[in-house]
Amino acid sequence: MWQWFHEWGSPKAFYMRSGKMLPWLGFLTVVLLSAGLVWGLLLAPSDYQQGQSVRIMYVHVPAAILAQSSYVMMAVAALVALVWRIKIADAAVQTAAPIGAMMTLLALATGSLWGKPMWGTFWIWDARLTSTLILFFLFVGVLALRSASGRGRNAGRAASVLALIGLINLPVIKYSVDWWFTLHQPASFTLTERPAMPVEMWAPLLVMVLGFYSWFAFTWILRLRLEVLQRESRADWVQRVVSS
Amino acid sequence: MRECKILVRSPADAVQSLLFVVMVVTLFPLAISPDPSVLAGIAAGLIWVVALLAALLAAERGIQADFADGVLEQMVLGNTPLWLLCLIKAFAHWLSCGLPLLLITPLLGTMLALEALEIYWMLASLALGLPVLSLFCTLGAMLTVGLDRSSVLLPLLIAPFLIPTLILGTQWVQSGGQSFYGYMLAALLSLSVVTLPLATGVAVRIAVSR
Amino acid sequence: MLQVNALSCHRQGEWLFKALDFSVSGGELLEIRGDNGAGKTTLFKILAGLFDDFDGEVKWDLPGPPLFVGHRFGLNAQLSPAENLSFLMALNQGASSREDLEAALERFNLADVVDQPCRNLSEGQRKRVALSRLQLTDARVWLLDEAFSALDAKGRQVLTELCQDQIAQGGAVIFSSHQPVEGFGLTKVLALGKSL
Repeated sequence: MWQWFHEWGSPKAFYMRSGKMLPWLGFLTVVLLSAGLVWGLLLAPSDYQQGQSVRIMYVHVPAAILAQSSYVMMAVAALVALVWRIKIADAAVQTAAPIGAMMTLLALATGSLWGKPMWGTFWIWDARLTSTLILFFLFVGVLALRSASGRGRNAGRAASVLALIGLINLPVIKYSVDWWFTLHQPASFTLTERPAMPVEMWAPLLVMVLGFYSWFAFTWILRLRLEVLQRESRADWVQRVVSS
Repeated sequence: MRECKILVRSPADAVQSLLFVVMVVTLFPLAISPDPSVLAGIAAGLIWVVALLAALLAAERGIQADFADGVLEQMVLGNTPLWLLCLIKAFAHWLSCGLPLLLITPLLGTMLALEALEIYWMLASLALGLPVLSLFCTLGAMLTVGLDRSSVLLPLLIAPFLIPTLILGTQWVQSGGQSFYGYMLAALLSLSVVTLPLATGVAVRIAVSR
Repeated sequence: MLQVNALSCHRQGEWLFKALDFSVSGGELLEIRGDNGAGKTTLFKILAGLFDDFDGEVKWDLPGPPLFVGHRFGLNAQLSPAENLSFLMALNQGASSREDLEAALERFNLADVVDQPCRNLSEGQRKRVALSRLQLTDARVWLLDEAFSALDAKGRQVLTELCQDQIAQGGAVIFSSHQPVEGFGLTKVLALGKSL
């Protein structure tokens, strides 16, 4: 296990190995996403309650799932960076934050687009949208702290601490928001309850979720490679890579 | 001990928090409606939000000065455990901002048409919740001290973490004192007291190396 | 007591110093010389353990932390010298008696401002308050950045005496200074800067 850590921990090793993985990952992403989109947006049945607009779910739900997962992944990287001082983990935090933030924005935007046909309004204070909004603020916080910290080797530490605190607080926040919502929920609201989805609907959803994960991994690794090149720009191997 | 002395020497800070709170609470009836039934409905939340804002405003007090004076450096170099020093700092924040707020809550409650029983629960929720706010604000201050525009950055970073306390606190009052919320708040407080000073200690080391 | 191997530090796009090797043992005095911006303060911070973005090794072999007096004195403007000193000492070694505090301040000619808030004191006076710690501390190593600047002749003399006492007792002093300092016997010198 430690072996694996150390092997991937060196920036050069990471760069070389991920270079080989990347094309495959990209291919997988394209396949999953296009399959999922076609299936979900065109082929899957429309909901008996919501009609065609339910198709936004095929983008919104994966985005929301991924928004949260990416925060967790970023915070785990932050833990590794803080405790074991692995440089690449620090770079991982830095590169994950903007991707996660945009993913959260996407979830928010699609959530609100979905809201219009469903509830007649672009914004509704339900548990999930609200927690996603708070998640967005958490991401922005990490990004802001990161950019204010400058460029030294240890610049990312404050942001990593913040990400970790955010991780620990995330369940607390989610719990309290969910709860706040159930207390104030008007009786007619059944948004959070969803009747069990037939296979024809959750199968493309699953494909989309996997596709989003794959896209996230692809983008993250891509950005991480770039960041590694920038950080190690003084090293010989980088000069060789860049000039080749 | 030292923190108390500093506070006593500059009471202006505590007064500033008080005035801010009273000012904002005054603004709301003006902006919305002086109708007591309306005010009573939003009072719990309003006082809590104002408390939050006041805490955020006061967060950098003491810490910014200590950073500039080199006191934080000495704290890191000393033999005293950092988490203890951070806990004391959070306590100082509470003394200069939370305690005055707690004392003036009966007045605020009356201004917002709350009944005596509600004011009692308001006090209880603030008594448990304000220390949590102080702990988080101190953490935020340590994370951002020495950075550009830290006073804008700090609220942005810390506000999400204050939300659970806000929700629990307001619910406790609005539900008329259901003890469940009290227990949750107490649990949150205990958890925060135990974990946040440690995290703040880490933040101090980071701050000092800037 | 202190062993430094291959210490290099890169800050804001340039190397401050590269591959420094030196050591300090008990009873030794080390002077760090260099122009402004040559990296003296950064080196002090690294030695004190406050800054860790460097390559190389810094090994301390001490029972307790070193005493560090830097550019910023660690004094709160609203508290008096006595209160400030008491706090700074308490951080390291517990409470100090009023007599000890007064004696330390008196040595630096501050007896008449012992209880005034530090914001009323001049820069030189504040420096002397910070240096009063030296008499009270039992730290084995002193790190004094820009120790002798902003002091008058009397102050410099007191500081020199304190350092000599420290050396005689087997401790060590690492200091930096712009001006040459008289009164010390053999000192090691570490020169930083472009002229290396």
